[in-house]
Amino acid sequence: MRHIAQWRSVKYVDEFNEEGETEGETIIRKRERFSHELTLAYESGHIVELKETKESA
Amino acid sequence: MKNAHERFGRLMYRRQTEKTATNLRVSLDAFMGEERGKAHLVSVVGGDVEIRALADAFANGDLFTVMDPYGNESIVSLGEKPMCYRGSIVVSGRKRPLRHLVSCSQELADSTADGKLLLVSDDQLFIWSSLVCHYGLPATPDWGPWLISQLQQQKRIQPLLGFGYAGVAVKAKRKELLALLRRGLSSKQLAFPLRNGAVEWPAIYLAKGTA
Repeated sequence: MRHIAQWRSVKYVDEFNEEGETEGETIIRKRERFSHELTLAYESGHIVELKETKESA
Repeated sequence: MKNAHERFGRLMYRRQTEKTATNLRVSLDAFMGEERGKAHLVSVVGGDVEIRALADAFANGDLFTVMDPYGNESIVSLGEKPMCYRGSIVVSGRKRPLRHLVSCSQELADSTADGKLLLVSDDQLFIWSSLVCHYGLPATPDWGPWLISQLQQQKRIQPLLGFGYAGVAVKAKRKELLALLRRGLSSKQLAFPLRNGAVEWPAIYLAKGTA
């Protein structure tokens, strides 16, 4: 099926919380990373986005 | 092209502390901003000391006064952490080169904004290619006129205050633009290219307008 695709990289920031050495101290760590995102537009008007989604618990 | 004194505005900065008083006036080459004292783009030329002091003032988020070539004044600020780019312009007959400072707000430079995109030109192809590039839209250059007309009908493209560049703010989210694409394709307002292959975008040049 005919379509037009657009790929791009998208920046995500993951955040981790760690307990610090002293009582009540919390260390917040942030890690930046890039992920893929692909968007497709079909001739019929149907649009599909393929991208990272959060895992359901 | 008008003479420099007719197309330049003025930027005034005043700061007074207990020990010192700073009072600067430099030529303003271009300015873009919004209501409520928001500046997004400032391009000034002046001497080395003046430009250095202004870069510090911008970085501090200090207020300054801009006056356009028609004499309209407004008090504005570039907000927190503006980006500053400095360069030199050699002018024949002057011992020292002029210093050029271009500063832009975080909001103008933000590459992750979703909902409001600030652009330095109101050219349709520039707006459309910027939207496609910024939001990662699957689209062709030919779809621009229809989509821009839809955005204009919905009053989502608003001109910014200023001179030098005809800036605009495009107020649309990615999902809204995708919905417009969906509508255009379903209603056959937007047509696919006749042949398969990579979508070619024409080269885009930014022309600086005169006031």
